[in-house]
Amino acid sequence: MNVSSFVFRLGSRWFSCSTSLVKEVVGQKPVIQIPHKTNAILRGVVNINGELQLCVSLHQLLGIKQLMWNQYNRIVVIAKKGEIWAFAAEEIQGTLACDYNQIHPFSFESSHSISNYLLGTILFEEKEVNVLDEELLLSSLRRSLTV
Amino acid sequence: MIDPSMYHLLCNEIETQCKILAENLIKLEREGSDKQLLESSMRAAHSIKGASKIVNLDPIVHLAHTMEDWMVKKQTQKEIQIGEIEVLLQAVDFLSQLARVSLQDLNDWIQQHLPFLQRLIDQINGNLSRDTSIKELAVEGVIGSTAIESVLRMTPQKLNQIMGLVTESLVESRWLYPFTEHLEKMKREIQNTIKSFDQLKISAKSTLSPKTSEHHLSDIQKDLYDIGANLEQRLYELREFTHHYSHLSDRLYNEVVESRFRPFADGTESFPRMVRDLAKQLGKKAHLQIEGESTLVDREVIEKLEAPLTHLLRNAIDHGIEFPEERKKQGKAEEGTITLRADHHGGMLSITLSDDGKGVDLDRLRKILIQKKIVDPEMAYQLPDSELAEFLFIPALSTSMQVSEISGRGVGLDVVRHFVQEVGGKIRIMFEPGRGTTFHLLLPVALSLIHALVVTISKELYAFPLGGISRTEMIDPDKIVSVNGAITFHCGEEEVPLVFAWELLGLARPVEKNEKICIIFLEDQTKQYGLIVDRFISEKTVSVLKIDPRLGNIEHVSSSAIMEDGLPLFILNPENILTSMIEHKEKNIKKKKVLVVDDSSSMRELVSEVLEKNGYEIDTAVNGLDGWNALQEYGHYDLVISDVNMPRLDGIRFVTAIKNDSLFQHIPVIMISYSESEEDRSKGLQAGAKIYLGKSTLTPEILLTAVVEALL
Repeated sequence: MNVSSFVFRLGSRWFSCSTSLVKEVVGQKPVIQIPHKTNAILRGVVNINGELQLCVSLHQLLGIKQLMWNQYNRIVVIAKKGEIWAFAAEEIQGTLACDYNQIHPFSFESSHSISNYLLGTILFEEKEVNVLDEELLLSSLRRSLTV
Repeated sequence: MIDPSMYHLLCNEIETQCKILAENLIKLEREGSDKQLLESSMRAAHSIKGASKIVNLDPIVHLAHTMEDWMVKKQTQKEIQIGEIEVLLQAVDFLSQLARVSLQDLNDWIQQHLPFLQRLIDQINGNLSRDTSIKELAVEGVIGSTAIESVLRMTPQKLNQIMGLVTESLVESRWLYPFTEHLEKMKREIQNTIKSFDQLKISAKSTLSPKTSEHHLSDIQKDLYDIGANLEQRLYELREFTHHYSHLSDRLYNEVVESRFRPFADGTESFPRMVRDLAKQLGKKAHLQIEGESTLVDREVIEKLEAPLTHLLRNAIDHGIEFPEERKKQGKAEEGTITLRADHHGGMLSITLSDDGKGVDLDRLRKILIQKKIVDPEMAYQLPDSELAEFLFIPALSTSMQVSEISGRGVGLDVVRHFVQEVGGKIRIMFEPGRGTTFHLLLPVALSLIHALVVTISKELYAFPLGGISRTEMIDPDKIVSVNGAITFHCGEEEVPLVFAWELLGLARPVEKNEKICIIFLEDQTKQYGLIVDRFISEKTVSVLKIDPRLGNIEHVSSSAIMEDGLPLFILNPENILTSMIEHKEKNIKKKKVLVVDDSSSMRELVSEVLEKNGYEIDTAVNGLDGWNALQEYGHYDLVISDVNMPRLDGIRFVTAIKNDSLFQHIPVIMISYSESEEDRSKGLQAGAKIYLGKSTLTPEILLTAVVEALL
């Protein structure tokens, strides 16, 4: 089963999600805090094409160390059923066809582990790509609104 | 069966024509028979007749025809008898109501109202005594009216203008592609020149004769000149483009902003009728004069203005305008005049509503203020009249001053003031005893644009609406006094409480120290408060953006905006901030937080709804793994409610993980499952659940009891 996947890097690890989830990718932009609402995961709002979108830190959510920011950082905007989120990524690889049958699933880790947000990993061009479980990801992001 | 789109057209037609009819009828009543008014009314009735004929609504055709006949008759017969207008207005009301009935309910509605309709027709024909049945229709709930989607009407002309500008903008932007290519080419040329220069440098040392070197050099020089000239040309073009494009963007922006505007008259259509009816009901005579009808007002302001203006009008008739005899005694015209006026004034929309009635009864106001212990007697007589009148806006007072059927409906002037403050405007009351009262509302021209003071708080930009600021000041730090942890500032006689904005907004304390302390002063009726911000930046007009609804209400914030450089900022809510400052510390009762884990969304919603209603805060997770992630992300849950059969990680393994983790093992767990067998129950309890419930027998009561028990 080939699925068009969007591949990006957070810190030193590669991740992918379904391409249909990605609305657009834009250059780095300032994120401003939301009074009384900003927390470790919900970082604030960011101006995407004249509209303010909620910006979250996937690094924080997945427990990944953020590398030094540079000008090549990108903001990825994802959307599902009108629910829009923006997050920063260190690098965008682009889209590729992922064979989901090749995914190595993880077993449950009883700790705060990246693997608990994944469908599994897949090997692509000698890179280990972490395939995000969109349902788990969005559910977690939604919770960041009530913290 | 009527075609829905045809019906929609009919309703629109009826609505438009009814507005004309109502306006004309009121004028006819006041000014007597008038050929032009009758003709225009006749045309309106005729249009309704024509439109109803198309869809074969015979009863309506009949009514419109009767109305039309009446207009024709009056053109020769001149005299309009008392009560006739009343009946025709009833017919207009009936038609307006019909226009709001949904198509599927139309037949039933007409059937139901046939007897009434027949009476109306008879009365218009003059065949029935008029006092029967007049009030029958009164205000009746509209049957089956569906929620009307908010729609923005725009003239085709306006849309064309905008389309034109957008097209131009599109064409203009295409110019940038070849321009970029030019620059790319120039870059290559420079690279080539650098290359030749490098080569020359190397070979000059060894092989080349001075003459050849010179030759090469002048080649390079020529290339550089060319590039320079080329660059000059491109720069000129870019400058032209920038100039042109920013002008185009401005025009586009203005057109779009303007498309939100409507003439003031759009919001006042119902008022003359209301004033007439109300005055009649009270046995008074009053007439509404509207000025500045063509003044352009943001449609949102128009919509929001309706309620407060209705209230002020009711007030004016009920409390302002005197009874005819009394007016006569005072040498005034029997008929009172209420003037409603809109115009633009200093970048703001100014609305004045004045009546020529008796003004405010200051003695009565003083008595009530003293009686209600709002002001002590001495003060009540010392305060200047203008300041005394300000008390009319206090909630406790505005209701008790006006207990009457008309204006005392539990909403007082405080409601009007609340509206004005909400949109960042100002309201003033002026009066002259015996001569009348004037309310002056100063409102922003558009709710989509806010005049604000841009400041920094905790290093980020915030906009503070000018309407909410009484003044600003920069003071030396040593002028601030700290008493028991609270800080104040002496301002003349008054001790002004101060609050740090970063603290109020829950932001980080700014590191940088300023030489001067920047204070925004806010005030309620009696007292001043100061909000300390990092810096004042500038006064700006910002364009308002709605906040993502997922964020819900953000305390102290009303909306957001984007600055010219694209930077987002939040617009603060002065009223909300003032309230927080007055109450000083908000009550912070911590709710119990419950994590609901279930792969069925309906089950999640059901459980969440029951618990939220009972004061619990809820997070949800879609399966055991998501539940586990929730614990890792947040951790401080007071209770976990989990399903058993779920994908990714089932309930038993999820609960086992919780109970094996030193951080979470203290959190009580309730398991809810479809399986109620003893075996599964004991599995759940063994894994560490405190309570095990069956889904098939679950009621809100059982759930709540279990939650209370688990939290014990």
